Amino acid sequence: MVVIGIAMLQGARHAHMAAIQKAAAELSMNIEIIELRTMEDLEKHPIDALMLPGGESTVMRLRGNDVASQLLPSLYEWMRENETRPVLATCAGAILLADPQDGGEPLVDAEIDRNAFGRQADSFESDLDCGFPGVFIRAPRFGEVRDTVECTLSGEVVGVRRGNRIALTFHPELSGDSRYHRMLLEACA
Amino acid sequence: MSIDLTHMRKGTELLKRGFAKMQEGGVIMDVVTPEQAHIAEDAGATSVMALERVPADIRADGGVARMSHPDLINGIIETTTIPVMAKARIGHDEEARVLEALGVDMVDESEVLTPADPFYHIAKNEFTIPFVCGCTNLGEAVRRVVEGAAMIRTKGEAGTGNVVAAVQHARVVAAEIDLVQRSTSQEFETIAATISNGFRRLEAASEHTLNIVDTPFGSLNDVHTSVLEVLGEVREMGRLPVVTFSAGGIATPADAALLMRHRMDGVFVGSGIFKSENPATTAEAIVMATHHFEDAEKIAEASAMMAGRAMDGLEIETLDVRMDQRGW
Repeated sequence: MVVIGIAMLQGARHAHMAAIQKAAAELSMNIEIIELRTMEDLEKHPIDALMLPGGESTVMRLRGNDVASQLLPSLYEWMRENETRPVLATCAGAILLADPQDGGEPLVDAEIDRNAFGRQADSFESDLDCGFPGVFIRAPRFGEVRDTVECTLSGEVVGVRRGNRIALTFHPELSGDSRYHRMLLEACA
Repeated sequence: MSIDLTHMRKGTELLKRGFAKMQEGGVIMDVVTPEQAHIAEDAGATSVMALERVPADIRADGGVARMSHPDLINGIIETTTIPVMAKARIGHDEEARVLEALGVDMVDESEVLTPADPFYHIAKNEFTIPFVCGCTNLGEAVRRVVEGAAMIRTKGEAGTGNVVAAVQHARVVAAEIDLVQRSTSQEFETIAATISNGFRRLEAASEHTLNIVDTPFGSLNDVHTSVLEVLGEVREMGRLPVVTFSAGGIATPADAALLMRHRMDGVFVGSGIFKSENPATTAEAIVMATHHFEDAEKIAEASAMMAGRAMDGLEIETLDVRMDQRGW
């Protein structure tokens, strides 16, 4: 049994849960999904991998750092203990990895700008250079990238990897393609 | 940096519904000034709704309520980093076009404004940006999704600080979804036919037998096919196929938690924030209660955070205008 934690701070959490269930079925893996709302949830349930969904990063920082939750500091601690721990972070989740704003090291070494393609009218779909169906919604944009390039669109980096941590500016959970979710599960093996 | 946005696919249903999914678990707050927008963003709003008057003032002022002035919407767009929504009148495609041109992220086709079309809502499928629409029951919700809404909110009764209509609409939608799930195929067809009849309102306005064939959303046949598809999704998922928020009357952290308990994906708070005595703490408290809706101790903590009274409320029975009866 592989235990997948999902940060329930805010945003497209149910799409990620559906995508990881689909990936698990494809791999014939048994998984348990743990919904993480507070620091205590992480203490009570040891997890093998973590998903950080998209949503509004401003809201996630507020909810994740408030005294009632303290989820975000405990997630950063969990990730920093070992960079081989599998993490899939999308859109706002990628912002939380690249720019933790907690005084510590970034979790992936890359500059990132919020909403850097424009407003919702500029949200777009396009296949990445590797063929993966990219869904970009008010997406952030990487600047200088010092970690491994995971994937590109027209040559521009849209995914960054450090160890088993993957930060994507697009939404694989909405695309119907479960490759990145399978990758997360395979990294747990 | 060579991504050329001009050749990308934009305005697809996936992008519209995806935008709404990013709002899940969130609180969307009405604001009338850039300063209020800052307070909302700092308190943890997932979006702001930019408008000239909150519903409580629209209700008190009376008269025709229209789309807000572009300068007001622009002022709020320029000062916030979170998405900005704005309201167009029911059936007023041109107001919605203006809002799209201004760069708002989502249009609320809203019963809080005075309806512009007695027969048809906006043809939302023809826009690049997504729409949210109100409903009081499953039929309205399905019709709005067929027309292209990417998000639904139950209407509640806006500007009252009275949560009873919001609860009513949440319960009716849930009960009707249950009905669809338990229906035989014949009953399912009957439900679908009743819902499709909502697109034929124009017929009753003529002294002749019109038998309309076309609607702004396609032929009546195509529309009925879409109704069957959306209802099929409802039957399979046990919920609406788009993100569903509550709206209309939410004034306290406990109100927000109550509607989240009714399996809403998030809440709109209109007058409830800036008609309260201390808007900043009300906003923070409602965000916290929405997030921790399953934890009574945290809702209690959130309730105690409010440094002042909630907005004054109105009895539904005393209202001159029932906004929830606008639209169909």
